[in-house]
Order: sequence, then structure tokens, then C-alpha cells
Amino acid sequence: MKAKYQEKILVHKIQQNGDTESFAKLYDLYINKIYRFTYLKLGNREEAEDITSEVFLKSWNYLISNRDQVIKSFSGLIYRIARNTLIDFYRQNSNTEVSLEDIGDIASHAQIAQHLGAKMEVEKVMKILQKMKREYQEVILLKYIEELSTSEIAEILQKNNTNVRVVLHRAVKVLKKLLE
Amino acid sequence: MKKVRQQLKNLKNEDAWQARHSWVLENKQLLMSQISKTNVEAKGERKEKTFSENWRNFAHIYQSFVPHNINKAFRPVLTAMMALVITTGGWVASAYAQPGDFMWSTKVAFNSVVEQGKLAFTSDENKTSVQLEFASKRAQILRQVVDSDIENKDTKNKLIKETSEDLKHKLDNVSESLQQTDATTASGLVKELSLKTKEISNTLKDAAAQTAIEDEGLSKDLSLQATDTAKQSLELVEVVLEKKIEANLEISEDEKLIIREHIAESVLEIQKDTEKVQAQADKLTEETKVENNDSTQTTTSSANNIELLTIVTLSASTTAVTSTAKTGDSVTEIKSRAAELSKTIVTENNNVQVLLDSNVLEAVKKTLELKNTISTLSHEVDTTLSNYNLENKVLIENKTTTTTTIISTSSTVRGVVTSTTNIIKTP
Repeated sequence: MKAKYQEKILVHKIQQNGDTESFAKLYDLYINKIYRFTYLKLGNREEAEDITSEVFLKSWNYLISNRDQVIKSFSGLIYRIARNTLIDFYRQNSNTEVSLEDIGDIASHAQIAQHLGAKMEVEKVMKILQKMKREYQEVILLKYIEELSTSEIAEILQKNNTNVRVVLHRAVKVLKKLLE
Repeated sequence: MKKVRQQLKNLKNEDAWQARHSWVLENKQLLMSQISKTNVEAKGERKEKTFSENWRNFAHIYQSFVPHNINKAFRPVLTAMMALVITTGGWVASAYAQPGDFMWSTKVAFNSVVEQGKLAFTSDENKTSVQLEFASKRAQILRQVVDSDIENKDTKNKLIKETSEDLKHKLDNVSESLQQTDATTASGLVKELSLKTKEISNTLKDAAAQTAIEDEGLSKDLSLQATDTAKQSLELVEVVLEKKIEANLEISEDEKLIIREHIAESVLEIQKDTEKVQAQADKLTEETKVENNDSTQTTTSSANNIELLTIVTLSASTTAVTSTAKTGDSVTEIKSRAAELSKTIVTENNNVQVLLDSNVLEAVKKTLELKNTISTLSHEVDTTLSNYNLENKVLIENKTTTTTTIISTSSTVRGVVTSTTNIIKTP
């Protein structure tokens, strides 16, 4: 709760005073999370780094150009921007003929194996996760890896809380089935 | 399902899913410089705060922090309370003060008091970490001051100077505190120390680059401080490693990775510095050569003109030639030393890479040694360069005086000769 209020203060300082120091603090808090989010979707370090940089710049621009808008949660905002940036990225690279629904399938098995090394169980979960529907993949990622609350996930995915719960329930069911 | 959840949570800690430390830092620097530019533009657009803007600010705070589901009956009371706090609380005003604002000095003083208070309640083992946090904060303030749009250059430069001195003081506190920390506590600080001090050094470098046009002296000081901080950064890592080795504690792979990155960056900096020193020495050699030729020409032309003035001109020119030659000698020496150092660095770099696998502490020491050598050489080049500029200035002044004397004396002599001829011609 304290952290949430601190984040709100930082966002307020950025919106009202263009405080770069506050943005630096938010950067430190979110850089690894956003990198992980994009890397899990892209499976490529360089691309994930580029997208992550773009996400932070977009977040800053959004905050200083929407000074009057009340930002309920910064995490909701930044993940939403990350999600949209990834969608744009795939649209721009559409000649690779990858459908939006299959974003998670981008990382090759070789890459996954290389990154996860000997940790077979983790690798297995990761492979399955990347083969799942984008919607399921996102809720699982946000809920269990990033440990966000249902209302935060709802804000990111622009759904209501009930919808998120339903999707999460289905996603877990599918994941469980695939793991068996 | 519990097992699956645990596996999913474990993914977060996988090395492959972590962003590279060096990239995180570089990207932060880049992002900060990008957003600082947009920030200056945005600030220019809204320079003067009106009453409506202050009200909008208050409304934003209210909407952001008062929960939406709160009973409507409490809203007027809360509004009144918040209005009271905002209008009467000076600290609120100072908390939002920007560099150059009336309340800025209050904010800085208030922060120092808060820091002292925080330090008083911090246990000994956490003191280094807290001091490091204070130093980072000072670096952020320095960036803020440099990026600020203070119109009076003297005020801005004074603020930059004060903040950078304060930053230096805070970093010294970190070193002192680390010396007193026990090995176990210090061992957890490698990552934090390496990353944060590197970040501070980069901030100082940026500040030096940004102030170069307005105040060359200040920029030079900041650049020097950046180099010192980079050295201090390595020294801090060295202290931690020494403590760990003394206490027989193992250096983890994660720590090795950070140190490896740190050393790689330092070696790259050393190489850049060596190239810079070599370029400066080359430039100086060229200039001293041209200056030697000029001085000789002055002597010859003066001798041809008026015999009477030859002795004066010759003595002035000889002094200039001698001092330029002296500078030339030291430049040649520096040039050869820089070339030698450049070769040594290639060899030492390979040694450092080998040492990194076998003896991390030795690798750090070796890098530090190289860094010290190059900074001494760089300092010598700087001194020679300023001496040379000073000598050049004196030489130009001497030349101007001599030429003026020659011109005035030649016209006098010409006048005397004409009158004498006229007298002879007159019957």
C-alpha cells in the first residue's frame, strides 16, 4: 500500500512538474519487469531491449502530455503501453507472417533451450506458456510471474475484474491440462 | 497447481530473463538525456504559474490520492483539510521547488536535515548503503540543476558547483563508511556500489559536456570529478573484494559478472583517454613546430629592417624560441609516453581478461593502476597545454610590441635620413 502511494506521488510530480528524478525512480522499479514482459513475448534480447526503451519513452511522453489525467496505477499504464508497443511491433514486422494471436510462438525452441539451460521443468512450463493463446499467456504472466492484482490486470487488458477472473481460470485450466 | 505456480514464479529469477546491468544503466542515461530535452521544452511553454494552474494542481492531488469510494459526506471536510495543509505547509512548497526557485535552498537544507536524521537511526551495517543512496540523490539533483532553465548563468554555475562539491563529499562518506563495514555486510554491496557509482560518474560526464559551452573551467572541473569518481568506483569494489578475501568469503558468479562489466567499461575508457592524450600531444607538436618557425622569421625580418633594434628583437625572440622549444621537448616526451602507454594497455587488457578468471582482485588492482597512469598523463598534458597557451599569449604580446616599435622607429629614422639629405643638398 505504501509503495502504491509512493508511486502515485512520483507520477503526480512527473505530471505536474515534469520531474525527471521521479521518472528515474519509476524506471528503476519497472525496468526489469517490462524487459521480462517483452522478452517473454519476443524471445530476442536486442528486440526486447529496443521495445523496453521505447515503452519508457512513450510512458514519459504520455505522462507529461496528459497532465490533468488521473493515473490510477502506473503499472497499469506502463504494461498497457508495453502491450500496445508489442502489437505495433508485430504489425510493422507483419511480413514475417505471424498472427497477433501467435505472438507467444515467436521464440524458437532452440532459443528457449539456450536461455533456460539445464532447468528442464522451467523450460517445459515456458514452452507451454509460449504456445498458449496470447490472452491466456498475458493473464498468467501478469498474475503469477509479475504478481499483479486482478484489478491491475483488468486495467492493463482493458477488461472488467470478472472477465479477468474468468480468463485466468480458463488459462490455468489449459496450462494444467497441457502440463499433464 | 501449486507446483506450476512455483515454477512460474521461478521464471522471474532466471538469469536469461534478467535485463543486462550495463544495458539498464546505459539506457537510463540515454532516456534521462532524452526526457530532459522534452522537459525543458515543456517547461518553456508553461513558465508562469497562474492561480488556475495552482488550483488544477490541487485538484489533481485530490483526485489522485482521495479514494473514489469515500463517503461523499467526508469530501468537503477532506477538501478543507487538504487546502489547509497545502496553503500553510511551507515544506509542501519546498518539496515541489525546482532549481532556481525561491524555495530551492530550503528544499536542499530540509533534505540534508532529513538525511542526517535518517542516518542517526540507521544501523552501522546499513550505513554504506544509505550513504550511497544520498550520493545518488545528489547526482540526480546535479542533473536537475544542469537541465534547469535558470536564466542567470552565474547563479546556475554556482548551484552546479555547490551540488557537485556536495556530491563529492557524499561519495567520500561512502568510502569512509565502507572501510568501517564488516566483510559480511560489505560482500552484499558489490552490485550496488558498482552500478550506482558508475551512474554517478556518467551523470558528472554529462554535466561536464552540457556546461562546456557556457563555462569551460567548470566543465573541466566536472570532467575531472567524473574521472575521480570512476576511479573511486573501482577502489570501492577493490575494498569489498579485499574484505571478502580476508574473511574467506566466496565471490559469486553474479558479482564476477558485474565486476567483469565494470572492468571492461573502465578499460574502454582508458583506451579512449589514451587516444585523447595522443591526439592532444599531436596537436601540440604541430603547433609548437609552427610557432618555432614563426619566431625565427620574426628575428630575421627584424634584423633586416633596422640594425639598431636587432639586439632588442633578437633577445625577445630568443626567449620565445627557448620557451617554445622547452614546451616542444615536454610534448615530445608526453607523446612518446602516450604511444608507449597505448601499447601497454593492449597487453595489460589481455592480462586483465586472464586475471578476471583466476584473480578478480588482481584484475581490479591492475585496472586501477592503468587508470591512475592515464589520469596522471592526462593531467600533465593539460598542464603543458595551459603552459603552452600562456607562453603563446606572451609571445603574441611581445611580437605586437616589437612590431609597433619597429614601425615607429623606422619612420623616425626615415625622417632623420630625409632631413639630413635635404641639408646636404642645400648649398
